[in-house]
Parts: sequence; C-alpha cells; structure tokens
Amino acid sequence: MQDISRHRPKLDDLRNRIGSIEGLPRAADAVISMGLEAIDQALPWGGLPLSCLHHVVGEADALPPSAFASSATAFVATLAARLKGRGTVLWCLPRYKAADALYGVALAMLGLEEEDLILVRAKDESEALWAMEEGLCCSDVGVVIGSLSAPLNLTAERRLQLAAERGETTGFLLQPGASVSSSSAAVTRWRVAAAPSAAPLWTGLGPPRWSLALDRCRQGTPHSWIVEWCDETSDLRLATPLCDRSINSVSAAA
Amino acid sequence: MTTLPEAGAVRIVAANAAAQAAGVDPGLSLTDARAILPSLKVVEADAAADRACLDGMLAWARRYTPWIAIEGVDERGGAGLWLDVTGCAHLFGDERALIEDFEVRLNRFGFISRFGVADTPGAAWAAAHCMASQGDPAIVPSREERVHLAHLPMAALRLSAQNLETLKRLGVSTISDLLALPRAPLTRRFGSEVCLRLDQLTGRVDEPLSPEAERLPYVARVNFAEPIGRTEDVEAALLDLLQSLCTRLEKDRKGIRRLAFEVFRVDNTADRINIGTAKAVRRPEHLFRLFREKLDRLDAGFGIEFLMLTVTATDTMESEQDGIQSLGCSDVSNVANPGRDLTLLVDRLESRLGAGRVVRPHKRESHIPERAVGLIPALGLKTQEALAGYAREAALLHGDIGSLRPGSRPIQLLPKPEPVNPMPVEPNTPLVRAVPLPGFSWRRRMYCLAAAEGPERIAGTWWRGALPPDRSGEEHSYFTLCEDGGAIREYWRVESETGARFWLFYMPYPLQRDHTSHEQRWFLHGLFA
Repeated sequence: MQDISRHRPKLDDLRNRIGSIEGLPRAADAVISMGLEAIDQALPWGGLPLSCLHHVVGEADALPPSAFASSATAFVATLAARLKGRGTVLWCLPRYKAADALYGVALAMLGLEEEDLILVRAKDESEALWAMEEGLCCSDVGVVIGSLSAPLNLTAERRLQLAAERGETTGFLLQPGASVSSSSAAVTRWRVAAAPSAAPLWTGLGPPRWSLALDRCRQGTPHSWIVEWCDETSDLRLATPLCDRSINSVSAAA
Repeated sequence: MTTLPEAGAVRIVAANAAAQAAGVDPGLSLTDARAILPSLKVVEADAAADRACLDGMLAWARRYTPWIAIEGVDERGGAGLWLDVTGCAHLFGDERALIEDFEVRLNRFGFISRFGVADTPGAAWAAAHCMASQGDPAIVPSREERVHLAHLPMAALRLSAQNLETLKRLGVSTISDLLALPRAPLTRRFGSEVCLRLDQLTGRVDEPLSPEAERLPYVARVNFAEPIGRTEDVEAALLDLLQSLCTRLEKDRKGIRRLAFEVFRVDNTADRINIGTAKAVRRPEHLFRLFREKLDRLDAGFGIEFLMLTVTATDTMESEQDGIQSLGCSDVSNVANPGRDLTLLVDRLESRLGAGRVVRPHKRESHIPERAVGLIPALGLKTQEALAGYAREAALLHGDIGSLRPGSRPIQLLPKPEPVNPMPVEPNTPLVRAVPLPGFSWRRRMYCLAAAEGPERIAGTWWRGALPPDRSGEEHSYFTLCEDGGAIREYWRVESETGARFWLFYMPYPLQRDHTSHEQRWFLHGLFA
C-alpha cells in the first residue's frame, strides 16, 4: 500500500472541485452551529451548512410512536428556531396525518413563535412537495420543513436540493424512519430517536435524551452520539463523554 | 322627521309635509314639537347616510347631464343636487320635460322632490327652495331673475343665520327690498356675503360648479378581431389587462383583494377564474402568477372572443417604492409588513391549495391544552390584529400566558385524546420511580414505564358551561364533558423503557355516559420529544 499522505493536498483539491461541480456547500459558505462542539467538528463544514437540503428521520420502526417521530420533529424545530433570523419558517405537512398533532405551544417554547412560523396544510404529499419547492425558492423564507411519510425518489429530492441552492434557503425533510432509501440527494441525513434518560437525583423525569446519528454526510463520515436535551436553554450536551463512537461499532453493539 | 342635538336641546332638522302642516317646523325643539303633535315619529339625523344616498342619486342622475355635483352637505342635512343642464335639456324636449322625467322617476324611488331651473345656480337654488313645490317645478325664464325672484323672502339667498336675523330686524324681508338698498353700506354692515349672494343670484358674479368625478368600476376588457385559442395569447392579453388595471388602481391608491377573470368563447359560453390575495396587491406580475396556476384548466373551446377582468374587492393601498426590499434590507419576519416575496408565496399557496390551508398557530388564553392553540390565516389584517391583541393580553398579564415551564408540553398533541389500556398492577411488585401505572398499551402496542412525573391537574371550564363545537363541526366529546364538572384530568409525563415520552392523563371521575363495560380512565394526549 502506497503512502497516500503526500497526495493529500491533491486529493483535497480534487474533492473541492468535484464538490463545486455537484453544488455542494463549501466550508466558506454559511453554516450554523449545532449547539455542540463535538457534532460541529464531525461535520466537514464546521457546522450545519445552510442553503441546502437535510434529511432527518425518526426511529427505524413503523409502529407508533415512531410514526410521529416526535424526537426528530423537536430536533428540526430547534434547528429552525435557530435559523429564524434568516426569514420565515415554512412547515409543509399533509394535514391528515401526524400533521394536525403539531402543538403550537410547545413550538413556541422551542423558540418558534407564531410570527415566525407558517404552516401549510397540504391535501397530500405531492401538494406538500410542491409547497416545499415554492417555499425554498422564496427569498423571504429562511427554512422550509416538510413532514412526509413516504420516502421520496431521488428526482424529487434533487429538485428540492436545487431549489434550496437557488433560493438560499435551508430545507429539512422530516420523515418517520420506517423506510428510508439508501441513496439521497440531501447533504446530510440524521437519525433521531428517543433514548432512555438518566434517573434524576430526586423523583420525576430527567432531561430527555436522544440518540442522534449522522447517517450520511457528503464529504464526511457517519457518527453517532447520545445527547441530552436541555429544555430551558434549548441546548444539547453529550450524555456521556465516551459516547462518540463510529456508527459501525454502535450497530455491532446493537 | 329627523332630529339633531344642538346646544343642549334636541332640535328638529327636517319634518315631512304632514308634520309641517301641524305646525312642526325645523328648528323647533323636540319637546315643543311633542307638545304640538304627540304622535310624532322621531328619527335621529344621520348625515353619513344622507351623503351616501345623495352619492347614489348623483351616480344615477348622470343620465341627465355629466356636469353634476352635490349641493352643500353639512351636519344638518339640507342638501340637494346641482345639475348643469346647459346643452342637455333639448335631448328630453325642453327643461320642463327633463324635470318631469326626473320627478316621475324619483317618485317611483319614493323621493319627494322640488326643482328650480334658472340661468345661475343662485337663482335656481332660490327657485327650488322658495318657489317650487312638489310636482310644480319653478322655471325662471332666461335673464328675468330680477322680475321673477324679486318677491322671494331673504331665505332664498343662502345667507348665514346671523345675517338673516339682522336683515329681518332691519325690516328687509324680500329680495326687491334688498336690491333697492345701496350696496356700499350693505357691505360695510354685513361683509361681502350679502352682496356676493345677490350677485350670484343675478348672474353678475359667476358661480362655478365643480362636478363629482365619475367613479368607474375597475373593469378591463379586450376584444379580439379573430378568436384566440393559444394559452400564450391568453397570457399576453391577461398581462396587458392587469397592467392597465393596476395603473388605474395606483392613481386611486387602491390595491386588489379579489379579482375575477372571465373568458367568453365564440359559442356564447363563458368561464371564470377567481383569485384572492391575503393583502392588497397592485403588481401585475404577482397577480399574473396567481392566475397562471389556474389557466391550465381553462378550455378555449372553439376560440375566445373577448376577455374581461373585474376587480370585485379592493383595499386602500399607498404607493410603494421599488428597490429597497430587493436590496436585502427588509425585515422578513415582520407580520405587519411581510416581504413582497412572502406575500406572493402565501397567495400562490392559497390559490392552489385552497383557503384556510396556509395558517399560523395562534396561542389563546386557555389552560385546556387543546384549546390553547388555534389557527389563524398566515397574512392579512386579521392576523395582525390577532397577534397584536395577543401581545397586549400577554403584556397585561405580565407574561402569565407563557409561564408554562419549558418542556412541560408535548411537541405533538393528538387532536383527540386516545384511550389506552393500563397494564394490570401485579401484587407485591413495587412500582419503580413512582410511576402511576406499570405500563399501558396504545395502538396495539405495549409500553412499560420506566419513570414518570406528575400529576398536573387540569380541571374543565365549569364556569363556561358547554363549549361550542369545534370549528370543524365535529363535537369534541372531551370538551362537552367539561360541563358536568367532572372533567378533571390528571396529567402525567411518563417515559417508557425505550425512552419514548408520553403525556397521559387519568380521569379520577370518569364519564357516566361511557357505554363500555369497564370505566375508561387513562388517555394518551401527546408525545414528547
């Protein structure tokens, strides 16, 4: 095996060129911190890149409560609340499913107040997709979230990704993780599931925990974390400092 | 008879013929009038309604002359219409024929009218007010004002009440008396008014009428020499029509709220597309994009003969300056002044998805979880009001509304609480971490509980009685149970062994009307992150 370290500058240059052809975000582009240094460092851009599409899926389980993907919903809502300074947040959801369950009081607690948020209650998924694309092209919109139940085909995802680039908006595809296609046009794919929380010192419930996994990441490597969600400050913290394992070892352990 | 309060007393402004015959004249106080005629029917004077009625009459009376104006509306009513019939009377025969036609038509509308015709507006006013009676118009022959109007009282001169009173005390009672007086002392005594009115009557001073501008409906239409059928042609024509309408609206400082586009085909059939906007709009491109969503379903048939665009609702809208927003310094998240792109986006989404589909969650002041949030339209005046109203309320209550602890409400609330089956408690097994029940099954799946927090007791709104049904018309059985006072729910936040968190509630006093054999006490209401 040849030593590739001397080729690294060349390889990096090649990667950048391919990335710019593919329309991938460069490190210099706008990013937003995930609120946790360990996660930011795992992303090749030093944070979550804006002006592109991200895929967030729930637990790999079709039965409730996974069908509601509550943890993934809260995860996306938190990120959107961080981005609300860039424009209105447009949340497109087919109105017949878990969509109607979205609770405004809790969203406001996460920082998505009513003046920041517009809900689009579409008749079906195709209408929701259309609304998402329209929203992504709109310059006054900062974040577009689409709650969908079926996986999208690659063309539809690519369309959304292009629209996000064109409109300089950030898109989140939110999906309960029942069936997720392996290929995706999104820049990152996150898997968010609830994890058992630590027992508090006294009675009651401790802060909720999520198992957060970066499943796919262009130009990056998968990671997973167990994070604790602090509802007072809308902050994440690592549940234990030793949790930063690669995804392979986690799946091997499971 | 109409009245108006004046200087502490309610005085009569106008009275009908029957009342005047009995001695009830305008200017009398209401108590005096009641003493004269106890059966009086009194209505408070409404100047705005008078004005609106005159406006309508003015628009209608354009059939007689385009040069038409409203005569002095003040808070006391007493108004009429000026018609400059110069060059128009011959179309009806002569002046008398015109007036007869006018009077007959007004009569049919239920109006009583008096007409005066003369060379000058002043003379016509005097003739109408002091010579004419119902059904008997006063027509003063040309250049004979002095002869015909000399015997009229001073009231025919449109003088101020003060001057009228002084002249009366001086013994000047008719116009001929006044004409006989020297002008210079008159002006010194009364100011310019008396001489001016006299000159306006005789025609020595010109008195121009300024006609009301005609208010045309906002309609644009285009006819084609040859029927058209291509979508591109329709689009081009539509854009032209929109442009012409928007230019007109800009002059009147108005914006479009609703617009109807009608297509008339050669075989006498028509089609119609309606659009609405969340906010007044005056940009042709914006409106055009709203129409383009719906142009596809337009069928040209054998060809389109003409197109018509009708504005069915407008709002006032000040002119706006272009360019500032495109420089990127707009405050995009501001509801009161949303960016232009956002307005367009909301309009497009609504025109395709339907009304009530583009919304915002709106917090309401209620401690009942499912009533604490409603939906309001995403943009528009109502939304601004709702948001401002909420901010006011919140300020009044010193932030009491938002005082729930973060994380105490679920991210997803089921539209309707769903019953769950609690797992039976096995004897001699201590419950871990103070959970109220060992587990439950929901949607055919078991959950074992690992931890819990609660209870948070939420009672029904017993003071309000039965709540109205939901907007969807569907009656919420859990709302209606609030009325019997037994609607106490004890909410628990519970965590299952896998980490999923639920919002369960327990009803200590379950419903009587539950038909199932066992009492349903546990419900699932929401899911936490």
